[in-house]
Amino acid sequence: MTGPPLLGDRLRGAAWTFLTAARTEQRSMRGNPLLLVNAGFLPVVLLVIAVEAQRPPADRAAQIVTSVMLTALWGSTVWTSGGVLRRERTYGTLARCVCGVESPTVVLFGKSLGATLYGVGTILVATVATVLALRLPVALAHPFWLAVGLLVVVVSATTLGALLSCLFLLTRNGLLWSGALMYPVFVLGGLLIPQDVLPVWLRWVPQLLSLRWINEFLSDAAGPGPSATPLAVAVALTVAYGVVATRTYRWSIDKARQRGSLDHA
Amino acid sequence: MSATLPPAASIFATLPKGVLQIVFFTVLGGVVAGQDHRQFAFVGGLVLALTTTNTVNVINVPFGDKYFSTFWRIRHGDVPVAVVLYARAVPYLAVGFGLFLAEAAIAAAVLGMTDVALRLLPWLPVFALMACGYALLGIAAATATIAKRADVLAPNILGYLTMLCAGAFLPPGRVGWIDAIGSVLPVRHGLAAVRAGLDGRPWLTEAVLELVICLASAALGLLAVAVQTRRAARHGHDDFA
Repeated sequence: MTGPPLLGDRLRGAAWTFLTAARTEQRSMRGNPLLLVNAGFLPVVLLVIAVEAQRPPADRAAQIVTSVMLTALWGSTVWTSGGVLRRERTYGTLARCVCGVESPTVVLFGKSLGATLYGVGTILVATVATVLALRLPVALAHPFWLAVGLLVVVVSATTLGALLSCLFLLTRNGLLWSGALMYPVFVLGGLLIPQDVLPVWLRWVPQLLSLRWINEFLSDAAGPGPSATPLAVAVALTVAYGVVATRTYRWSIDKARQRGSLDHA
Repeated sequence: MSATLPPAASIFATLPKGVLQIVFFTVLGGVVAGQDHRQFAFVGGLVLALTTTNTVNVINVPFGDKYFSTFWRIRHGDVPVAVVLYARAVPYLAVGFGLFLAEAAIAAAVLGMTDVALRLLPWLPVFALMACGYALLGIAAATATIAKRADVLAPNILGYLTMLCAGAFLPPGRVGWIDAIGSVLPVRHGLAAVRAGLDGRPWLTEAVLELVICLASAALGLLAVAVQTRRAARHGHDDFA
């Protein structure tokens, strides 16, 4: 007897595809030392110059470390998970991916997760090593909430990366725009440069970035105590990124199919 | 590779990046070390934009031959390989410096530091020297590592080392090992010369040291080209693969 697959089978198939895509992307990243260098060096450089320019007091040190990590994560996201679809196109596998049995969106998010885990892991190792080397007095007052924050970081960076990846699919110069997109968020993301330092007419920009809210949550969790509001806003933004990424991906694939230009923008 | 990208795309992606890089480091200087550090960080940010963002494109010269497999034609030509390589690097340097002037003007206006930017105008030759040194060491590093799948790593690592060790953001004398690495890389001495000149202190020694490092970088590049050329001839491959 044949018929449409049961819901349970479909979910199992989607989960298998998601995890396989994540593993595949991680294997691919291991073969690309440039991504390791970018994710590993940036937090070290930013942390050393920010801390050694003027030693921060103990209560500010954790805030700087968190901001540096999230700034480096943005840099890593642009190059790693943000480049998933660009790399599919470069390797000539995008057309096969979108014509597969399983949803290409599941593959995209799986690959984005694999890339994000790789980036977060590298950044964590590099940052912890630098904090120890610099003997920074970083307090971890609420470790449980820090772990929750880290989980939200991974999920949020995964959806953000998927969204970027879809945007880069719309241009054939994705590599160039990847480089150009780093500093706007470094300046306007509300991470290392606080929101209140920005001109008044630009202070709404950081509000749109989930990493800025996670930064606030993690900084509070490392010090006085976590607050639910920034975490809730970060989760809401993450959901919004996911929805926009899914729709943009479907739209750009449909357009590319109509034009017969899946493998070139 | 960006060697294959349209010039307009390169310029429109590089110009805002350079401006924002200068703005980022200048504002960050004020945030982490107080308003007095802003001018220090602004001058450093200018040099970082000039080198790590604009001049770094010069590595497309050896990359281009690798990716398009055209090195054998250059190797069999009448003009020495190194001459061809360095001559092709000149337009990248010229465009990078032109972009730098635009980036500096825009960033200075945005940051309200036009007076500092104007005071830096007489020091443009030292900025050019720093760009040359960085480009020459970048070519040397990319050429030396091009057969090891590390060709894109070398310029990136050079960029991070410059950011950390050039004294662009972190004043010299804070961390010993950073000073030691920076003292043998391009940019640090040139930047020290510019800062000394702005403060009315003697600057010539630092400028000469920058020139020496620039020449040493050129010598390293010549050596790397000679080694790779000989290697290609001996092993029978001509694409630096």
